[in-house]
Amino acid sequence: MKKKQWQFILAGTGGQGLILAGAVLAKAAISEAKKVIQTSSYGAQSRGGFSQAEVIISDGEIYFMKCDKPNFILALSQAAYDKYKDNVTSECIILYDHDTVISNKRMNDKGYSFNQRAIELGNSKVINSVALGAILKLCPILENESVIRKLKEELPEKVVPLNLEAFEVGYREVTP
Amino acid sequence: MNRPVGKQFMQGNEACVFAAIDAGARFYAGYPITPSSEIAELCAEFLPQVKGVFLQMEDELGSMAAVIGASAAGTKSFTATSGPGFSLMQENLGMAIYTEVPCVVVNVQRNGPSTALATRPGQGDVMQTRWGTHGDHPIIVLSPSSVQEYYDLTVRAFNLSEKYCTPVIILTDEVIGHMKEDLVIPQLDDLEIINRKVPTQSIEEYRPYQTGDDDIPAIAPFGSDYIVHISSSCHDETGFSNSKPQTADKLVRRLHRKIDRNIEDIVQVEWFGARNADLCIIAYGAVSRTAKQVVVDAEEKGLSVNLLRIITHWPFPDAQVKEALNQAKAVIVAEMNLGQVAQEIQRLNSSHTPIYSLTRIDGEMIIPSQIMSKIEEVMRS
Repeated sequence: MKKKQWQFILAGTGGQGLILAGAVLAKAAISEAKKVIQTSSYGAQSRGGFSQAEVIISDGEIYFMKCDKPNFILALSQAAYDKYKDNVTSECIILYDHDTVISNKRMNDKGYSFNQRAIELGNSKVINSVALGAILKLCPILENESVIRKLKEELPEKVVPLNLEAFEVGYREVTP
Repeated sequence: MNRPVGKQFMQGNEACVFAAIDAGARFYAGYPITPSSEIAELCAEFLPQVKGVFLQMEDELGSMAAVIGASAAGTKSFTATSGPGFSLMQENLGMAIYTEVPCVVVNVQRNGPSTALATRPGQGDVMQTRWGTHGDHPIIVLSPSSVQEYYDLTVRAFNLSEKYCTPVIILTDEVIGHMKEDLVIPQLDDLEIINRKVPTQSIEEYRPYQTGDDDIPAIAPFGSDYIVHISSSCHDETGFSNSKPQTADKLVRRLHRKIDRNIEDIVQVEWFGARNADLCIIAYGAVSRTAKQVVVDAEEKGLSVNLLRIITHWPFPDAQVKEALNQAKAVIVAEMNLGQVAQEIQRLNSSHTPIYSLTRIDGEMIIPSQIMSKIEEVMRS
């Protein structure tokens, strides 16, 4: 029987914490005894340029390490959206940021006000945790608790409460 | 240092650093460069914690020189870099080969030539590892394709380097260097660690480059009671320069012989899929992962395809490649360069098996569908 494999691409702008979000997703999956590979792409500058994390989660061995058939794309910038909108299957979920992605939505793509909502929560940097909540809502392949545990482990202690709140907001407000 | 042990989830470059320390490395000199910089960063953090030394050098010429000096003083030493820095290391790499100083050089390849796409992967340095430094010289080059293997081959690189008194290059790429996946780090006691030969002669009789039947010298560390002289000029058994033709001939032939006679110990490959398949893909490093996916996909389509994965680039796995050429009806060589290994395979093709070179040099990975299209094209023809 063919093992189920999930390919996630988290794409946006350097500084949004997407590589950290990818790491949290990956480590949560590892804690559930799944096979995981995480890769990332980034430009020469660490802030402001295009940045993305790719995470493959599988019940079986993963050979090819890049997301060639993504099941889920998070697009937190117009460039991220444009990079993928024409290169994925119709089954692939694209979740984009309403505030920065303004053109050419595919019929079934899902938008949410990630940037604005993070700012309202008190810190634009929690945008990655809002996104993680949303991802878990739309792709419930991991337990929320596994992700929350890894958020607590990976983040500095003083920012954990706000990030957990951001995770809850993303999970609650984004609906399939 | 809190040594990780058991199942871990980490980046390739991170696994390399833990492996180097486990293998006994206590000296790193380097100049950070993408996509190898994590190795320098982590060495700066961890080496001082195990009473080791981290030196940020002024450039890669100095880095390689410092590595040779530290190793000559008896400390297992290494450096890491990428294409532009590896180019600068060539002169001193040649010195390490000629003077038989064990050391490990990690080249995390990026797209080239020159500065090119600094953050994107490439495999364009395969021939540079073989012939980058001048003159006739042997070299050992290992190519990992997973985080686990990056760890394992780093330990092995130090072991081979110590055993044969020669530099060993770990030739990896941006994808393997930066990707994170799980690996198992063994208990220290379960690791085989090899240390270089120590002299057995008396101080009066000692000659550092005198070898027994195995062609491998026992060079005492600087600072010991033995008198050691290391010269990059042609040298005799005393280590002092000597420009006689027969000395030059004897030395270079021995350097080759000490590697050539141990091919079976050094050369490793992996066969993946049915051994007697109609079509064989030959690949290495990150691209071999693409190829493995293709072998699995091909099986589902009822196509007879296997993979010969090169683990030891140099010395080249001639015997295994010949076996693939004799066995398969066609061979596809997939690599992120313009066919550097495909040419090497052509050299061995006395069976005149059709060889198809599949190349990619735009800084993107070769993806499974690319190889699959090539297979379908080859099978139609």
